[in-house]
Amino acid sequence: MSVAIKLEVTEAINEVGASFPGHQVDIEPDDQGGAFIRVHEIDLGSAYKPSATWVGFQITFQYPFADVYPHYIRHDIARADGKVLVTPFNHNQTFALPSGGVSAVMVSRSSKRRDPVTDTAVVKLAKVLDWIRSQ
Amino acid sequence: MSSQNSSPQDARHPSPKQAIVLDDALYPMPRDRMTARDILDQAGAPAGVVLQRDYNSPIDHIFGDDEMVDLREGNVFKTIPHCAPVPCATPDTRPKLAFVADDVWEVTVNPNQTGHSLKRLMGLPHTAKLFRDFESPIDQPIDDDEKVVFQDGPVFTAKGYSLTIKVNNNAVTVAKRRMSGLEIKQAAIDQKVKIEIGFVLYPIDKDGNLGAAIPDNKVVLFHDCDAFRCVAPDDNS
Repeated sequence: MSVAIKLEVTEAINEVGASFPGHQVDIEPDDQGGAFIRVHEIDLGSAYKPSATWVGFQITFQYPFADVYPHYIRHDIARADGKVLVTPFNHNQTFALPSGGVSAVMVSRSSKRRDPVTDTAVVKLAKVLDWIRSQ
Repeated sequence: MSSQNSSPQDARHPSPKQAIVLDDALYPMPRDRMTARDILDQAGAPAGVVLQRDYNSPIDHIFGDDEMVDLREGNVFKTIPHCAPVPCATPDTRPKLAFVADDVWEVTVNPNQTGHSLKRLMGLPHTAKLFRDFESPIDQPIDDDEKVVFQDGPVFTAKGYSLTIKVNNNAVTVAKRRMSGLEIKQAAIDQKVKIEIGFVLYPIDKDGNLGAAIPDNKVVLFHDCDAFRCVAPDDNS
């Protein structure tokens, strides 16, 4: 039996949408109270080729008490300077959407000292994007 | 009476401090009348540019390098690639005027303000006490209903006020409007907000949306009730 998306998860999704105005945001329930989210056309900067990607992640039913992690980006992303993407970038991964898996690079950045009050899904997304852009 | 700042300094009658905005950056200036090239030199502009006074119109005044510039007639400028001087001869155009308080500037075309209107222009709280900044330790207090004329000096300080910002929903009181990311975090820590100096700071807009991370060395201009989120950095896993 599928479980509707929890209120806390819905609020987190709304925050993500509001923080990325003009971006397509896809949502798929995970049937456990959480959801998979994909934000499109995120600019990673000129250090990457292509410079724009979608970013996907799952907000689980444990949210806000569970980390939002890992994140996924398009599978063909590469550094513009030709250097190899290394850990925490993980190639040959799949963003396992219920509607069908999508080939992806996984970006594995965990928040070991997260505070469930302040470390929201949109904050986590911002931190991950800042980190990618700073590499 | 307007001050004459271009004469040698007199300790009994200190000159008001001068400043210009050039290419959207603030520069202090030593007096109110200088050649265009001296202004460019003090701002560190390269040799291949000339000074252009910014008017509230598409037609701006381009100065020759040796032309005398009276900052009391307008202190907002741009640099443009070297070209022949072009005076602004249109009678109804008004130069942009930058009033400055605590290194924050706001541009207007109205030279005639009051203490109250200037505080409103600068985004200062009504409790702030405004002072005209002179080339002396003693500054001139400005009452709310007192007339403030741009030509008498564009630089002010504001004292005796505080702003309350929020960091992770905790009220943090600060006594200035420009602070670096590091200073904001330190102020929050000093006021018992449970963050660490190595945390990542984000602004939150009025709709609650997150802005770009504020690096430690980036100076932020803020207003009462501005909000920030400060969280621990992530780890590779």
